[in-house]
Formats: sequence, C-alpha cells, structure tokens
Amino acid sequence: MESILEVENITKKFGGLVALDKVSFKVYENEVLGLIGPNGAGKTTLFNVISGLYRPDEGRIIYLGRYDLTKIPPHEIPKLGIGRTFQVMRPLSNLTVIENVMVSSFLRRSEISDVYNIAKRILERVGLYEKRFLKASLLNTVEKKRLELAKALAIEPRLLLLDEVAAGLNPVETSEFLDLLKSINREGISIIMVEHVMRAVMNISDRIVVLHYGKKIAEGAPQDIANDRNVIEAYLGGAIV
Amino acid sequence: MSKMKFSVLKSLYSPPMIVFLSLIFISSPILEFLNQPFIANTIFMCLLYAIMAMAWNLLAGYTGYLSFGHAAFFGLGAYTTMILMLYYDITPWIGIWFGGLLTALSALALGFPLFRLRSHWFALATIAVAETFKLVFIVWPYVGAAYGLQSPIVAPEKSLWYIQYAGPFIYIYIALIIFVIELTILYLIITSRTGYYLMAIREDEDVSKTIGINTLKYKMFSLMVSAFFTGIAGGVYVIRFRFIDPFTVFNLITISIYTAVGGIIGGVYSFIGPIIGSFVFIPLTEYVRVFIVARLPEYYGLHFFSVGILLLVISLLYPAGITGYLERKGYLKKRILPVKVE
Amino acid sequence: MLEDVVNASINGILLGSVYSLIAMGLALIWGVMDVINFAQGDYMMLGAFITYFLFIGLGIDPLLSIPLTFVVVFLTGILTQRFVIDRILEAPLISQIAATFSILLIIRFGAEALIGPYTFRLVTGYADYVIRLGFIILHYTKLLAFIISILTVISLYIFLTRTFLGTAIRATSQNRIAAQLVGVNIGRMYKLAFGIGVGISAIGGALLSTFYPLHPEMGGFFCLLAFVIVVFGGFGSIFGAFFSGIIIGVVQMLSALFVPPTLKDAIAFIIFILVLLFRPTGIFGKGV
Repeated sequence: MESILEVENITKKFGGLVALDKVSFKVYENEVLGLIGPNGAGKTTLFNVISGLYRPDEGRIIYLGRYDLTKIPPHEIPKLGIGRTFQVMRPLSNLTVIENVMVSSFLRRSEISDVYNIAKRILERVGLYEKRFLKASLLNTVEKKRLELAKALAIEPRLLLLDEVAAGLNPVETSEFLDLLKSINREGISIIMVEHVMRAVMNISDRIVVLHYGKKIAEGAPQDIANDRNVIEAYLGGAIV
Repeated sequence: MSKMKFSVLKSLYSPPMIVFLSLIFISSPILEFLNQPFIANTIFMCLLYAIMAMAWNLLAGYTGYLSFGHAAFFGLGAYTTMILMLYYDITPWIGIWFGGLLTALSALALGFPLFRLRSHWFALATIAVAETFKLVFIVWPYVGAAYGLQSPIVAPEKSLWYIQYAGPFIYIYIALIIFVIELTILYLIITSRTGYYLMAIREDEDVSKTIGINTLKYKMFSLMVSAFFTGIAGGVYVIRFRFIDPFTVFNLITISIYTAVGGIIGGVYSFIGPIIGSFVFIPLTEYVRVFIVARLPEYYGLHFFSVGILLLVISLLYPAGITGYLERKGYLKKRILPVKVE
Repeated sequence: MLEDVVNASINGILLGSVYSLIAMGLALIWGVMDVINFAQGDYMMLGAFITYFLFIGLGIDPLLSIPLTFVVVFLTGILTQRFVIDRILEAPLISQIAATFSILLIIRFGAEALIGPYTFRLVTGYADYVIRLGFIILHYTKLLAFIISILTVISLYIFLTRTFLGTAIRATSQNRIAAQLVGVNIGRMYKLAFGIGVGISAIGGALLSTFYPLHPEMGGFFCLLAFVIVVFGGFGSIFGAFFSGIIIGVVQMLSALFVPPTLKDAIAFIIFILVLLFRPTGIFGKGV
C-alpha cells in the first residue's frame, strides 16, 4: 500500500522541553490512523508541525512521496490537500456557519456562487444545513465540531488531521460522528485522529501510534496496542502485575 | 462573470444609496443658490472623511488591523499632489492618482515591518510612523519644511486645470466622484474571495493559514488599498484647500483619529458604517468649530471635546456603532450574502 | 565638546527621571489591566496645571503642592476607572482604544476650552538658580525634580513590594484568577492601579511645570515619549520603565547636540519602531 505521509525523525523542542523526540511513522492511503497518548505526549504539537504552524528542529515529513511539509509555508499545505481541525474549536466567530465553510472552499474555487453551493452540500453532509445562517459563535459544542469538520472538508483534502473530535460528546453523539468519519474515509480520504476517548479511536482506527513524553512507544493494530505493556504502563503510570 | 459583478453592484446601489448620492449631488447647486457655504463645506468634509473612513475600515473592520497612523498616508498623498501641481504643473486630475499610487507603494514598504506586529503594538507602531513622517516633513526644505506649501490663485482660464473655484460648492462634486469610485471598488473587493479572506484573517489568523490563506499577501493588499484611497483623500484636500503643512496633514487627532472615529461611530462591522459615522460626527464638530469656537476663540478645543464625548458614549454604550444599533433594532437588515444565489 | 556631552548627559538623566514617572504609570496600568492608556499624557497635563493654578492662585510652591496634586489626579483616575475603563475591560480592542482616545479628547480639549489655548510658564523664585561644578551646569529646578522623582519611585517600590495593597496589586497583574482565589478584590485593585498610574504621571507633570512651558495640549508629546520608554523598557516591567526613561532622556539630550531640535524626537520614534520590530519584549521586560 502507498504511504500518503511519512513522518521521519521529527524532533521539536521548546527551550529545554523536548515536545517531540525523533518521532517516525507512516500513514497509508485510505487508512484511519489513531494517534494516542497521555496528556502532554505531544500529539497536538505533532499536528502543528505537520500543518506547518511549527517548524521542527530536526526531521522531515514527506507527503505523497514528494513534498517535504517542513519546508513549505503553512498556507501552501492545505493546497496540497491536507486539512485539519483544532482541538480548541476555532470557528470564525462573527461569520455565519455557511460563510465559515465558504471561506475554506475559496481555496479551490473563486466564484461566490460555486463556493456557496459547495458549502451547502458540505453542510448537508455534516448535518448543519438548517443552521447555515446562524452566527458561528452561537453553535453548541457538537455543532462546532461538525463545523470544524466541514471547514476541513471544504478544502477537498486527501488527508485529514482531526484533533480530539470526540471530546465533550456523549456516546450517542460520538457514535454519530464516527459514522460520519467512516463515510468520509470510505470516499478515499485518509485520516489521522488524535483522540483520548479510547472507545472512539479503537472503533474506527485501522492502526494506532502511541506517543508518550514526545516519543513513539508503540505502533500497530488496535488489539495489539490495547495489550501492549508499554502503552498500559504509560497510561497507568506504573508497572502492572 | 461581469454579469455577476453587475448584480453585485446592484445590491450596493440600492434605492436608499441612490437617493443619498443624488441628494448630495443636487445639494451643490442648491446650496450655492441659497448662499450657504458653511453647509456645503460641511458636506464636502463629510464626504472627505467618509472616503478616509471607508478606506481605513478595509484594514480595521474587515482585516482586523487597527491603524491610528493613517495620517501618514493622507499626508503623503497630499504632498505628492501638491508638489506635482506646484513644481511640475501637473493637473491634480492626474496628480491625485499619482499621490494614491505613491502612498500605496509606501504602504507596501511599511507593511513588511508593520505586519510583524499585531493588536496594540501594531496600533502604536502606526502612530509612531505617522509622527515620524510629520517630523521628517517639518525639517525637509524641499517640501517647504514647517511652513508648508501653498498653491497660488490662478487665472480663471486655468481653473479647470488646477480645479480652482470660489467657494466649496464645486468641490462637492470632486469628492463625490472619488467617493463613488471608492465605494464601487471596495464593494467589489468585499464581496469577492478577497473580502472573505480578509474577514477570516480578522477572525483568526492562524486558522486562516490552515485553510490555505496567504495571510501576508492579503494583509498587504488590504493595507495598500486602504493607503491608496487615503492618499487620494489627501489629494482631494489639496485641491480644495490649496495649503498644506506637516501639522495639518500628518495630524494625529484631526486626520488619524477622526478617520477612525468615523468608522467606530458608524460601526466597523458594516460596509456603510463608516459613511454614516462620518456624516454624523463631522457636522457636529464643524458646527461647534465654526459657530462657537470661531466666535469665542478662548473656547478653542470645544469642537474636539464634543467628538470625545460622542466617541465615549458610542464606545461604552454602542460598541457596534450606529449600524450595530440599527441592526439590533431591526431597522437595518444584516445582509448575509451580497447576492442571491439560491 | 566633551563638556557639552557631559552636560547633555546629566540633563538627560534629570529630565529622564521625570519622563519615567509618566512611563511608569503607563506600565503599571498596562501590567495590571491590559489596557493601554492613551490619555496618560493628559493626566500629566492635569497635574501640571493644578500645580500651576495653586501656585498662581494661592502662592503654594509647586514642589510643596505635589501631594495635593497627586491626590486630586488619583481620585480623578479612580473615577475614570469606575465609569469608563471598567466597562471596556472585556471589550474588543477597538472599544478599548476608542474609549481611552475619547478620554484623551475630553481631558485635553476640555481643559483647553476651559483654560484657553495659551502657553503658560510657572516661574518660581528659584527658577534661574544654577549650581556650577566646574563645567557642569545644574539647574536647581531640574535637580529638585530629579530628587523628587527618585523619592516617588522609591515610595512606589516600597508600596508595591512591602505593603499588603501593593502586593495585592502585583498579584493581580500576574494572575487575576489566582489573586481572586486568595481573596483580592480585583475591582478595587484595578481602581487603585489606575489611580496610582495617573497620579504618578501627574507628579511628573507637576515637576515639569517648574522648568517646562505648559500648554493644554502638552500631553500628546509626553504620552508618545512614555510609549517609547515603556516599549523600550518592556511593557510588563514598571521599574524597567524607570531605567529606560533615564536612558531615553539621555539619548534625547545627546542627539539634540547633533541633529536639528525637531529631529531629536524622531530619534525617539525610530528607536521605538526598531524595538517593536526586533525586541518587542523590551530591554528588561515581560513578554509581548
């Protein structure tokens, strides 16, 4: 299988703190890769490096076998087909829901009517169509998450970076959201998901990478990870009998 | 494509706007007939400040960068127009566009250092830039140093070339033409992809980068267009008043702050907000200046004081300005999209 | 030549100490409330004119009236905070700037409308005294101003570090929520900080009045100078502002020897822009 993304030896330091330490893994086309680890493991930092908001101190990230994301300006990365959501939801608050999606969509089209229609379709897809004329700041948590997803979809991505989409959702909402993600994945969009909610990530991921204190400590299929001693220790903080 | 632009413009030139522009248009001959130079001059000043406030608001209300140093651009445009006219005999009909162009280029140069800053620091830096321009022009002999530049009265047959006419009445037309050109261009910008990108930058610059917006490019564009029209306004000022000096055209209060006041009072989140704001506070300050201060010069300062009171009330009670208030009350409908696209 | 440089430097130190008072007030308000007080120079002007009128009207020596001037402007500051600043603390930036600019317009031009657009000079009996030490010329008024500035700074330091209220203010500026959790009344801290901030500025104005011409619009220049000083010294650092004020004062006086007088102010702005660009945290300061 082709790899869509290769993270090679990424190291990122903030002063004396090593946030990421020689992290390496591959993401294959069409897969859902879960990225888990205790708080502070460096997951969001890694996303920020991939999406170009941070520059790593060492390492490269090769996309589609030919682009080094660490050398590309952040605003060029979406053009290559990489979209992301933010853990702390950041809608464009004073714009309406549909305008939020339209802004993303302008990456690929320049006519307002095209962009408007695309935005409508995406909002229907994520279930926000009725709220399209509402000011984005007025949405509730679930709706804001859907909006984040809609904005990322509007750039017509091949790879989606999802940062804690399940946080703050009840089991029903989580389940619905996961179904939506599965259908997006089936359309051929690869996904890297940072997640804390174990049920969610185990359910949907093809493979999982585990980070702890900035290092990769495990990689593999969900069942293997669930039984991996290092992973269990990392989460529970001590040896298990 | 141009059919789309045409229908977009139809939403700008709605009946109320046409009525507004027509009223201004016919005010000139009527006021001349009734011999009311004060009212005519006030209308001219309202237009001038509306031009500046609209330009300022592209950067402030739409892109989210508050500048309090727009006097730098106004002054640069004014001096360019004046120098071209005075030293090179170039008619201001052409001169003001050069003024705008030079100002836009200076904005390009200034933008690189300025856009490293955000928020308060950006605002402070713009103030420092304008003050520096003022100081430089005060000591620079070529531009007349502290004495400024005055363009002399010309023979009647040259009136059109130099746009020199008695009284303020003709100048209303000049300002109106520029105003309409500016409105059209700004509206086309706002209702295009560029406009949405600017608003995205205003809302969240980091997120904007993750959806593919080259933030520096668009901020520069916004600054340059804003500077361009502010420079043109400086040229219009030269046409009307024929005298400029660094203290007047680079003035923090009467140019930089007043420009912002027009936008803030009218409402920075609305396209026509700056127009409404300028047409509200300029008559107030002009009235106080001409009827109270001119008669009782020991009360000099009262006209600025009155603007202060107005600004205080708006910023405390109506932060979204007059248009914000009207929208909340339902008198003004907030337009969701510029065109019908269903 | 050397004598000019030395004299200029000394003058710079004396003057700089007075400028720093205005700057320190600005830094205090910024540090505690995150508000940039664009009207800072106008409170200084108030201090200068209160001093002037007390001198002209009641014959009170400008240096003796300082405590009274401070109290009056301090109370004015508390009122400003209560009725204006408090309301825009959580507001978007544009409302904050609009509000402080409106205070600038109201104080500066309200005063001008009342007093008149004239320049005033406060001439004390000892205005012309100089002390000569070799080639060094010290103006008595500026020397006294310097001494009182130092005293003010020391008092402020003692207040902020040794008293309960002062510590509470510092706590508020560092971490509002934590301060509240230990029982600090944030609203009162804000008023206190604003009052002191503009009060010290007024002391600066009072001192300036003894050797500098007064005009209702004088606040503009000194406010900009205060910004340069605070940015240079670092926005979070109040005492950094003091030292940076001295430095700026010296730079100003020295540059007056080499460039036309008007441009010496341009030097200050150029420093300002350079610092904003290359070291926005300032020479001593906390983060941007």
